[in-house]
Amino acid sequence: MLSHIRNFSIIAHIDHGKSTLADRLLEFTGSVEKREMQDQLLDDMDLERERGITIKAHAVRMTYRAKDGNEYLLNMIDTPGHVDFTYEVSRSLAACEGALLVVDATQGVEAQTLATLYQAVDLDLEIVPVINKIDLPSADVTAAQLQVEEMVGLPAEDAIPASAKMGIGIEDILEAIVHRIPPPTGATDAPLKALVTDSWYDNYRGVVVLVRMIEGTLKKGQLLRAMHTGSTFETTEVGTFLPAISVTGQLLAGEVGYFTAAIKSLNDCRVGDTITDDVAPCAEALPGFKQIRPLVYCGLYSADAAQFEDLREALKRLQLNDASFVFEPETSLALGFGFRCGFLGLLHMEIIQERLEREYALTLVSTAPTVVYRVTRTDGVVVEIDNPAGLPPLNEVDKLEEPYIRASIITPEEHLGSVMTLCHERRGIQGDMQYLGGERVSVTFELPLNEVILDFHDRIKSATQGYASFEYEPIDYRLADLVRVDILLNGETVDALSFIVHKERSQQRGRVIAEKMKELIPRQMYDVAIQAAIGNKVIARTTVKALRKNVTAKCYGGDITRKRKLLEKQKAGKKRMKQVGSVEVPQEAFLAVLRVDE
Amino acid sequence: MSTSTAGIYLAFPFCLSHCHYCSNPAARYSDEAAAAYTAQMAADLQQVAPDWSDHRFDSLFLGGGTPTLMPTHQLQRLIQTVQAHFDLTDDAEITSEANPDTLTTPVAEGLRSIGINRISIGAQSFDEGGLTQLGRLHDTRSVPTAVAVARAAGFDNLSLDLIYGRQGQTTEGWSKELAQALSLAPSHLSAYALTPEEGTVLWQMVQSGTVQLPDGDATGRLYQQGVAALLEGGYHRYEISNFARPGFECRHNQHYWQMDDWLGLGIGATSHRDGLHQMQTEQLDDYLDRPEQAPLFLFSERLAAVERLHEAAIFGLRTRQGIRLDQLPGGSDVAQIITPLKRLIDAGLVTRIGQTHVATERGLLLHDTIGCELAYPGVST
Repeated sequence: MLSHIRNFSIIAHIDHGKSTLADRLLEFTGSVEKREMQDQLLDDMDLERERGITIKAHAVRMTYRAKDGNEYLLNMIDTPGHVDFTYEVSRSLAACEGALLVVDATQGVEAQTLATLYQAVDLDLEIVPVINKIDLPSADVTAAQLQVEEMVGLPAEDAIPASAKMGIGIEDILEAIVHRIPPPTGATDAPLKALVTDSWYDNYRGVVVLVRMIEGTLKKGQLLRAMHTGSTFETTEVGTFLPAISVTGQLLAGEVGYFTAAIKSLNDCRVGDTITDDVAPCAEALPGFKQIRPLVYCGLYSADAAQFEDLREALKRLQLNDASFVFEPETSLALGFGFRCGFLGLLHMEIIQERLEREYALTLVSTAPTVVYRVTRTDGVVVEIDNPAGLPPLNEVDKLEEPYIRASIITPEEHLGSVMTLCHERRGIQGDMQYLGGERVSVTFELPLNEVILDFHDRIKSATQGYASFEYEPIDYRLADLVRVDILLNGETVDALSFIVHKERSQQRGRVIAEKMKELIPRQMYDVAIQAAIGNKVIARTTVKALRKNVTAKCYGGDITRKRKLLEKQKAGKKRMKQVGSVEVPQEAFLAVLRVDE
Repeated sequence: MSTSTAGIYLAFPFCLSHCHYCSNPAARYSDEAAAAYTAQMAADLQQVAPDWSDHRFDSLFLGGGTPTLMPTHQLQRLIQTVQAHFDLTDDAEITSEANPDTLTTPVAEGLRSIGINRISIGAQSFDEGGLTQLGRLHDTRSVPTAVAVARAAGFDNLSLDLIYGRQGQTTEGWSKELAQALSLAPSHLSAYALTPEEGTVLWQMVQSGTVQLPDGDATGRLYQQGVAALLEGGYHRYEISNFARPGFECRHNQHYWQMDDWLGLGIGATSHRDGLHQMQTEQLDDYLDRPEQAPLFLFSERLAAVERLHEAAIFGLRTRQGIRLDQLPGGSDVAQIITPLKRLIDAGLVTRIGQTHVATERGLLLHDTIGCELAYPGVST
């Protein structure tokens, strides 16, 4: 009964109340007993809860008896809530016929919401605007409704006032889902065609694949094929989430559910792939599949060399559940054995690092993040460089290209000037500008990703007192006049400290980094000479003078035991240092590039 | 089992006031507390004596606190207990610490009469503002007086303590203070850099910013200035902070740096014996009310062979004598410190003279760096 199924997502900015609204919907439809409700049920990872964002997508089926007396099956497909996961968001949306657009009545529409909204509109989703947090004193419902009208072209009165926190408007929202969002279409007897919206590794079930059934039927024991990767596998379990797992044995066209099979790796069944019957496949795969590739790389090393194998194990385990994260071993002269790791973006990088430290009790030294440069060598060979140390000598480089992104920024009008200045400083090329009403402006810039990954987000925030929001998507590679700046300590190049920067800014940046290194490297037995150089040309130099006094003045009977404790403390301090040649370098120095205020 | 001689340290916590920089346990003096303390210490001495019957002791040190607040007859009882139950050599160095303001003629004569032959006077500073900053009760005039009183009572072996590196201390001021100390012609001088130990009044003042001590570079300069003045005055430096006329080095303190054995009794006092460190309680009440069957020492720590080696090497390098690899404890473990020592030699912190390694001038000022390097070489690589 396709006419009784509704598939929808919730589009919302961080903190605008998506998780709370999802909880209320589950509660209202009786999908979850109130006493079972843990705040924000869908965000089941600690980190997700702490950061208030959804990192992995989920799907839940609810049963709702509408005012028309009929019972409907509502599939709520959650989307990851961050700029780094644009592609995953688009695949979750592609599994729906409609979406709730949640707008905070006190904040208005944010860039991230807008970007996701445009994706949903492009996919022909029916948009149901919800004005949330109307219970707050600072709520301006009319202004928010007007913004929605301008952006989505829906009549302002169609936006539903609600307060997820107070439980206001929940039934109106459910009714709107039933009556405004169209039911799915698709024949159950057609060849199987299902969209992979998510997949993850479960310790008991192996790889679990979340699918939206487009056509046909998926049954336990069926031999399946992932059309893009070409992998085949036999299903071992088929079911849905209520939100608890419910084994149904089959899924029909229009439904949302999961299956498991003997799939070894997430790479065999990636988000956006089309699942079909291996024996009687459908004619063509669903559009929109992309082999997503990491945009940001950094080196990760265990501070304690003895933890190298532990780090490898931890990376492997994290990758089981995150196909977008890649790593391979690398060796640094300065840091020893470690891994070059690729991430979808900075947040993705931070999350992985935090999980490694928190869940696997590792102490990490990480190098500054870098983008992937495309180098055409003089012999015509094109190489991709994800580590500045790997950049060939300039005389072997014919062409150097860097990745560009399109950034969408929404800012209060009064801060527009600072935003424009920042973007121009970062070599941005201005695109569209649109006044959104409510004294807010949406502006797009094409920017080198290199200029964005370091501190752009923080700078945007401070330039606009936190009022601007920012979203980006990769666009293309462009020719660039870039150089590599090396940092030398006592005459030795520290490979892990090299960075690539636009030629025009290289001198100044070299100076600033050298000064920052001087602040971060503690005084030690020897003078430490710090130099910044491009090729053989030194562009900045400074010195950390040798330590002059470090002695316990009084040392008698009882002091001797105390002294040993003091030594143990110093040992702990030394452990956080990396020995580079004769110099001890603290971990944070490897991120100095991130810490400079120019 | 030690073949060398050992020392005994007796700690007396009583003080008239608590100096700002002092991290030793301190207690308000009362006749009752002093009597009970003496009784407990005498009993403890007798209790442990059989364990130390194989040791010869050539030093006894009464430290504090302020040992001179104790009635002389009580100190006498303790010294007699030591003499009766321990093998104390006839020529043993018997030192008492003293504060300038409480060292009166009767006190000094009393100390001398019960066998104390060395006195260490806590002068600390010859600057009134400096004494106030340190939280000392006495004024600068009381120091020469105390020295005269001690000499008159027969103390030829006399040491002065100085503290430098105070807030606002100038090289000119320090120079004057050193000159005044030298004019009193003590046989021994200790000069300590003021150190804000956690939990002290000074530490709190530094934390809250009410006191700003000179940085390491400035204190290092004051140190070198002090060393130069004292060498000039005919003293030699036999340990980082200790200076003596030839033959007047403190025998007792050398036991510590050589990691010999020593017995320490009294609150917070530590003992060392063949790699075993022990400590008595730091609480006066617990010390006085210790149940009969309770152990004498509250804390015990048995060092691994390699830890003993580190201690011996590290503390030996505080002294002019330095260390000889063939005389360090630890047997074959000694090989472990050869590479770190080479590194320290390359860095100019240690030098080798024949069989002996000693810290260089720069190394003495970076002794904690030496210690860390020896105990945890290349921990980060």
